[in-house]
Amino acid sequence: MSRTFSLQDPGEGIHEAEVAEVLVAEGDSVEEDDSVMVVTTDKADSELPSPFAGTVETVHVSVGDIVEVGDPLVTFDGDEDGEEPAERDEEDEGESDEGEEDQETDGEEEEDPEDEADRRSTSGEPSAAPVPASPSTRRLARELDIDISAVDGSGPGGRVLADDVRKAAEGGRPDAEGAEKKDEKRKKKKEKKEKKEKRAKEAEEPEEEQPQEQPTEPRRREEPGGAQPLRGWRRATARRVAESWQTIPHVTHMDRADITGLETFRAERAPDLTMTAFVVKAAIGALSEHPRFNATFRDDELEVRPDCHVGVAVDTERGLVVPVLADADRRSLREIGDELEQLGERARSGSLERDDVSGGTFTVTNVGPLGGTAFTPIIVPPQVAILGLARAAPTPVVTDDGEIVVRTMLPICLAFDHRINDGADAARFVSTIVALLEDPDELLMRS
Amino acid sequence: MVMGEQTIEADVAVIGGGPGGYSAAFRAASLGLDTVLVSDEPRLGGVCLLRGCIPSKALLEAVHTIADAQRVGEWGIDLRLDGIDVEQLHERTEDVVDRLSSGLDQIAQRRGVRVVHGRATFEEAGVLHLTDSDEATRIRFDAAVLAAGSQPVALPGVEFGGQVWDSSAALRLDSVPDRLLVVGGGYVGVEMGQIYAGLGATVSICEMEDRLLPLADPEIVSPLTDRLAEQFERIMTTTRVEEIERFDDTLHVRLSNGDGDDTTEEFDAVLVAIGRTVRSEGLGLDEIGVERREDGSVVVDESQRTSVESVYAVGDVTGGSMLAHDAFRQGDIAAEVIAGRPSRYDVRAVPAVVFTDPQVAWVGTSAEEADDREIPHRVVTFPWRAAGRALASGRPEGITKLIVEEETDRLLGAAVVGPGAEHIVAEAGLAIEMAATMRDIGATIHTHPTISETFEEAALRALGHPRHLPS
Repeated sequence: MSRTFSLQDPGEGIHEAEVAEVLVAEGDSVEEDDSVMVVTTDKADSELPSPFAGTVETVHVSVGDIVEVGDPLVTFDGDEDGEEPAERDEEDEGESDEGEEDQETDGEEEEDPEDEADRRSTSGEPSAAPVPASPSTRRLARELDIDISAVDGSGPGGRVLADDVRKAAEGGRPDAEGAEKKDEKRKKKKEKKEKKEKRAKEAEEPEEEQPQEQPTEPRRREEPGGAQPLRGWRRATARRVAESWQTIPHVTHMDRADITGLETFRAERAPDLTMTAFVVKAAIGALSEHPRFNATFRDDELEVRPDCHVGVAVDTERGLVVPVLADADRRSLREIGDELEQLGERARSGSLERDDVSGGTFTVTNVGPLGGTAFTPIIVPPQVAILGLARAAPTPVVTDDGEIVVRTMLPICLAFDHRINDGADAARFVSTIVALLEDPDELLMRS
Repeated sequence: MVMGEQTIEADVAVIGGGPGGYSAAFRAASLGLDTVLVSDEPRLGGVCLLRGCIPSKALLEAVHTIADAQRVGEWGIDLRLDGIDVEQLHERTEDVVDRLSSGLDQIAQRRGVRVVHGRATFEEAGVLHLTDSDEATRIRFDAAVLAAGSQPVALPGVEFGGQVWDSSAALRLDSVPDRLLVVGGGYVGVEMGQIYAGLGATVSICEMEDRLLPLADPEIVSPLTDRLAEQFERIMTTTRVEEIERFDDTLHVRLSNGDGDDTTEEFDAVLVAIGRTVRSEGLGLDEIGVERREDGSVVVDESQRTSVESVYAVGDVTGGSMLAHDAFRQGDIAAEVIAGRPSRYDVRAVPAVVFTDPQVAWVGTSAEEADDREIPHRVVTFPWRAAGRALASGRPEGITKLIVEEETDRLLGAAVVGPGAEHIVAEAGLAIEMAATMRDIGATIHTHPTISETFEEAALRALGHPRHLPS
């Protein structure tokens, strides 16, 4: 019976890895725990030990492949565990299958074991073993209103991981989507098969005799000045923004808000709050008036979201990260400020969890502190708009009376998905934001 | 003194100060709910702390120490016992209980849980009526958590009192009788029997079923039965008490073993430990429409909610395991659900420990239950005689036994006998909840030499390669 070794969650919520080295070839005999490949994640390189012993039947991946958790890596033929099916010896202690009970009351008053099941009007898993998932994952499923028994587990032995539940929650139809993805991957894999077979043979040769006709193959040790493949986080960002730019017809609407009054207010009343916090607050107010900007769009379906979770882009040493301020519409300005500060700190220290960076319905990105007069931000799919802030600066402004005065103007750039909203919608939305920023009292009145 | 009508308003009213009640109250308060706990006892802690688990553990610790002292005699260490001061032992036990109970008071205070003493009855679905309370006459609540607990069952026609004890009376340690009969071979019976045997009583035990701890896996009960056979005068299985006649100093107990051979024997005290029954009478449950089973236990769903939307129930009063730790969890769940959290009782592993020497403990699905539910499984044991630590400690009789799902190699359940079995089922419980496989357990390094190692070894044996056994 052949067994397949699939990529397991390498930890910390990473769900994909890049194959850096393949250490076995088809026909190789492998012992349990022998390393079969090296994979790279944004965190580190790790050698993957084989959970099985046996002969390698198929190597499903080659160097440079991006593999996701659950993807097959190597298929072995031979016995399970590569060991003699152990005598499950039960002789020593006079093994008996008569059981203990889950529950005991006391003396003779004990309940029938089935009473425990009867006791609760449970809604599932009547006879089979329960879904393999940890208590926290089960809890998450309830929080996201997902029937965990319907989620395909990607962990060992079909274990349902927190990520599987999140994907099910995001994807709606996990099965269909998953199947589609897999088909696509299988196709890709077929294309690579020839290449791979060739490489498998070469792997047997000593390294220095590697033929040179593979210049495209990225080496693992980067040479200064040479081309380098994108890794980890950068790669993830690259793919996300490319996907967004290629699929979403972006239009960027630009305006300016006079924040002279707001700045005075801020200096007097809340010097610790950032301009971003005020703008987030204003954006929330505007979103409630223009809900089509607080929405998600995928599979040709628009969902105008009743809830509001605002992503805020943070520049970190490792690159851009967008933690999400959950339930932003239910928070006071003060709470928004505090939460943003915390999320920012955690983003910079690298301690954000997946929960913290997913589920946004709108995004704000402020490059103002670094400069710039305007820019065209890229929408975070499946969201439909992103609000960019450039540098606020003292600017000559012509008043209604025709006078030239100096005011602090904040450039605002709203990039929106033109499939969902039109230019007029965007103009109205941004005008609302501008109006709120120009009237701090009104801004604070918004709950 | 005439009291006016005084009404307390609360988000949550908890009825009962035992493990289910106080865990619900503490959790509710920690979730920001205004919480009142009504207890008809002067102190918090319920039967578990005041008259059950905790005092019995204090006494078992004492008699296990005596047994240990005797055991090392075989190793050349002479620690002859020079008397037992039962009064001091009792005081020490009370002291433990006092400290824990006042600790609960402090937690209640710090969390802002208002504790009201009195008897609560449901007047309607949102109102409790209080009697015997000088603090209030009514509590208006948005949600109530019923945690009224359970009480010992008496033998038909034999009231508790005098030298006929329930477990609480036995724990008071008023006297150590010369001849004690323990009726009921469940965990209370064997624990209390071992306590009194250790204190010098001649103990006999009778059990209706054909073995002690009839609900536990017989294989893991066997080493305990061997031990009790040395400590007890007699172990009478398939035996029931027909009648108890009270005389001045003695009790005449008529026992039948089902063959029609009744015998009457004399004892100085009889402990009746044949089970517990829920305390759900006199609470007005029927009046407000809370559904109960024939045995009085309150029907709840996975969110601990009863058939009345605003009323939840946790712990013994819901029937089930009647274990304090199960009640803790249920109390938490009720509070979380009341606070709007999606908490549910989706527990897969409720551990149970019999604190005898050796301990008998189990958790999760038993082999029998796996059979009943037609889950393909296999059973693997690791005998402690192959564990260095067990031998060093002179305890080779222990067994660690795993029930493993065949298809996935997941741990479904565990049953353990031996000193320290409590720790192994704790780990096994986590393994079950986390859906750990034999490979997970076998690849987790356990300290050598420890008893916990037997858990790893059993998993390795399930994988076909135990370290300290030929196969």
